[in-house]
Amino acid sequence: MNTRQEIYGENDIIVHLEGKLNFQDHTEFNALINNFQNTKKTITFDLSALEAIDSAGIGMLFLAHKIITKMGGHLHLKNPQGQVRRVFEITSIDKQLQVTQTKS
Amino acid sequence: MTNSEDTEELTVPEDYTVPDGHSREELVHRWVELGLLISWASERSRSEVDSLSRYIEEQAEALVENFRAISEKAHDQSRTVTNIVETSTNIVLDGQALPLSDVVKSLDDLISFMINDVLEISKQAMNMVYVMQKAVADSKEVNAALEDIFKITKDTKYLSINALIEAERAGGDTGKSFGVVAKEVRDLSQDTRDLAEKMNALITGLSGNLDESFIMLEDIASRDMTKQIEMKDHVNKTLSALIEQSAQHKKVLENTVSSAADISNIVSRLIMAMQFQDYAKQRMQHLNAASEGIQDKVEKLTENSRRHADLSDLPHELPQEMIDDLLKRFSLSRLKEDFLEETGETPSPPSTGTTDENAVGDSANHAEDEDDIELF
Repeated sequence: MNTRQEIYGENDIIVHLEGKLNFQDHTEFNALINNFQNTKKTITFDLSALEAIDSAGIGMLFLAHKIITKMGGHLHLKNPQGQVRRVFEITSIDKQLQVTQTKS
Repeated sequence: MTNSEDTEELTVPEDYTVPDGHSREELVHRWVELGLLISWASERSRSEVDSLSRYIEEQAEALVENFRAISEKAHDQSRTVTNIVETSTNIVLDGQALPLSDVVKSLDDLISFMINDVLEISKQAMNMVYVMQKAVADSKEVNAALEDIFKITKDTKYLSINALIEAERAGGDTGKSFGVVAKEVRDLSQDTRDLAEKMNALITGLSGNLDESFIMLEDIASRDMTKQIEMKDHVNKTLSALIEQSAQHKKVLENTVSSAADISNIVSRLIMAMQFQDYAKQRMQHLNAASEGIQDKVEKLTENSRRHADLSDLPHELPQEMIDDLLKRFSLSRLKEDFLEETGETPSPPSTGTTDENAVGDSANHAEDEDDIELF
């Protein structure tokens, strides 16, 4: 997994997740989430370049949501594609996390 | 016909004259022959009409029976297929018939429930991974702290030894008291080291267990469950195809029921149509009654002629040559044979190069047409 961050103003951070998000990325992902400690910003994970995700990756997204929400922030998942989008649809993950699709 | 026929008495008009070229005896002779011919033909026609009526009746009854059998089979088929239609969209589970759509919905709910469990397990597994990572890091911190304790106890021990040496040098009560304190410090340092070593042994065991548990947890958490999740999609497609196929089967079966009902209705109409036989029988009975009446009248007239003509050589039976001439007019061989069988006659040999199709007279062409039809 590769990440790239963009900061907009004081309250919005966009993190582009690229490649594959699986169990091997848990340390890097944990470090990424810890960077958002003590912030109340809206964190957007742009998933348009994320090719695949496994069940551990989904678990990490849930944990990120839990941690960011606990801090008073907000997690937003944007533009899942391919396998990621299919898994999201099957699991109805949008019932628990905010998922938006701005392009097909 | 004249009014004299009603009286059954033969009266000759006063102004009647015998046609030129004919004698009275010849005309009476020909009249009696004609009467015999009409009588002969009437009897055999009635016999044939009766035979034909019976044949039609028998065949009609056989047809009606067959049609009824077809109708019953069509009804049976309709009932059987209707039963299949009613059960085709059900699945029997534990002796209970459930609609296929309910079963599919139940399976979908079950799979969704399992997927939710998978998501929850994935979430909790990653949570445990992070907690365990923190615990492993903390145990390393404890190890580092113990190393510090060992270093402190070592320094304390050296310090107490130096204090003892200095106490010996000082001598006297002061040195003696100082020596007691130095010994206490040395013992305290040793006890602290013993305790630290015990803690070190415990922490080392705990760290080992933590490392082992973390490896096991990693093995569990790293197992990708997305294949199982994506299987829901496959199962849903399969179940949808099953429902679609079941619906198509139901449609085909319903069409079959409809066709069977159509067949049954058509056969019922055919059975009704077979009542033509009754109508034909009545009409043939009318023909026979008319024929019988004509024969009766002719026989009475010819009998009167015999009495009044007083001629000795008038025929009492139809001459064979007239029979032969009449039979030639029948072109259908089977009909002809039936006549011959009934009359006990033997068929006269056909004329040279002729067959039934070569029947003489105006009916020749008509006879050919008839022979093309296998009525019997």
